[in-house]
Amino acid sequence: MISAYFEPFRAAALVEVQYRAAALAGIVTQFAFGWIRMEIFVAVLVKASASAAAQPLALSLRQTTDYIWLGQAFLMLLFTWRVPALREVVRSGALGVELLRPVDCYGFWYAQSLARVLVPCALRAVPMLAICLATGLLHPPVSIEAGLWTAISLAMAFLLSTALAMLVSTAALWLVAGDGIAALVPGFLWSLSGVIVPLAFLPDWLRTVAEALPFAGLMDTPLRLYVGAITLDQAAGPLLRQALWTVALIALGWAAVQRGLRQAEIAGG
Amino acid sequence: MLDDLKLWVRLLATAARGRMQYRVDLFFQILAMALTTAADFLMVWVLISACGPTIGWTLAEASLLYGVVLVPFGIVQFINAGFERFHDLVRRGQVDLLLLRPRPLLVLVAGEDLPVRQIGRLAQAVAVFAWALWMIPLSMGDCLLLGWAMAWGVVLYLSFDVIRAASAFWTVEGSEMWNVLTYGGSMAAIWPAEAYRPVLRTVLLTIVPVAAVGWLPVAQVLGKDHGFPAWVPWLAPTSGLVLSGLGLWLWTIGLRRYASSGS
Repeated sequence: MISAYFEPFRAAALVEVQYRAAALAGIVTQFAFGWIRMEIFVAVLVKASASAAAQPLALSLRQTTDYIWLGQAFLMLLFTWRVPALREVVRSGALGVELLRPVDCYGFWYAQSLARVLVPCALRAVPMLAICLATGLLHPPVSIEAGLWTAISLAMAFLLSTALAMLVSTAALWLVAGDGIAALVPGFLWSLSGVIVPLAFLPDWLRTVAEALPFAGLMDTPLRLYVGAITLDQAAGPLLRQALWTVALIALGWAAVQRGLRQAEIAGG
Repeated sequence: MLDDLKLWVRLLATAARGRMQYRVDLFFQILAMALTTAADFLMVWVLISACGPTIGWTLAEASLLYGVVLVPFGIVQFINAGFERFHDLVRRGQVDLLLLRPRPLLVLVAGEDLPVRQIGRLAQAVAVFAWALWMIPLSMGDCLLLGWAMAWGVVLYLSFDVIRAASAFWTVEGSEMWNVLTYGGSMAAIWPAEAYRPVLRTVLLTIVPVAAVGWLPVAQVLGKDHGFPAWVPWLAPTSGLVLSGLGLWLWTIGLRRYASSGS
């Protein structure tokens, strides 16, 4: 039974592994953007901490640069619009074939989509992490436990990113307001996942809102665990939120697919 | 020349009509684009309010810089999207079709697309800029300098797009790397360049002169110490001219060696 979902994952992963030139271009791009982001934050934080009237910073300079480089390495977690599986399937009429499979459609597509999120991201992240660690741009995690929890949180971020991407692409197809929601998600995601500004720097009210939304779980939660901005005894809350959002978005996505399949008409051709 | 201009406007109008067929979709796309690009302003706002006066720029001053950089960038993203798609046109062999038409390829590519959703990017930049202008009293001369700089900003960002597109004559791989020049350049330019370490500042004043057309004139207008004689901020924005020359040269020799994708 497991292999019914592992096979689509494996097949999609094999396709994604082919795009190594794209990954190389992505790495160069992400390094350049990381450099610019780093310079901006270094410029601000060095000055702010050197001044006499310095307020304590939400993240230290070292934590911030680590956060930025990790964020660049895992940037593709945020590219939820790269999972067009469902659109393709419905528009091309291949839906008919998909429905013949004796497996749950959502599960099957989820496995495919997970590969499409995970593999390109890993192709960029692994070399970037290696280079960043070797050159000292990025420090190792603050402790072994923090590293372990970061890994768990990152794994969850992949599941969450896939669930979000699928929900968005399903909603876009079958709900009346779906197109609008689908268009707006990247806007919120970009501002509120931490990739532009680590959420710790946001004013309290906005940070509270951002942390309650699913987008924080895509990036901010694992990154803050890594840099030690959430100590391990405080980690339960953010991790639980991440897990709950993952489950909730998977459930919603599953329901949206079921609803859509009931309404779907399959045109010949 | 005038003919080409007319053709260009006509092509853009056609592209826009095509894009406007789906109204509801379009409204959300514009809103989404505004939201996404406003994340950059979120960064400026958060950093200035979190670290306060130590940076030396108030939020209004930083907003002025934001507008001077991103209004021209927004205009170019709006009217010049054909060049961003040029790699795809080469890959799919559609350039051959364009070459059959008895008009300059540059004009045809420029008129290829008018992504109406980019109004969202432009609108949020204009809004921030308007607020800054309202907050900061400026003299006639100041306005002249800013207007001058922004006009050259348009030239500079247009040149980036032409250079990016011209690279497709040599390779269609890795076109996203050129985002570093356009999006990366504009992102680096919205933060006061005197705060950067020398390497990045030098790059932004020379090779990718986004700070020369953005930060230098704005720093001058606001009376900040930019470390150059007072005439430099007037002259520096024209560095866009060098890059547009480079862009057109690359385009010309690229087009000469173009041998189709063979599909």
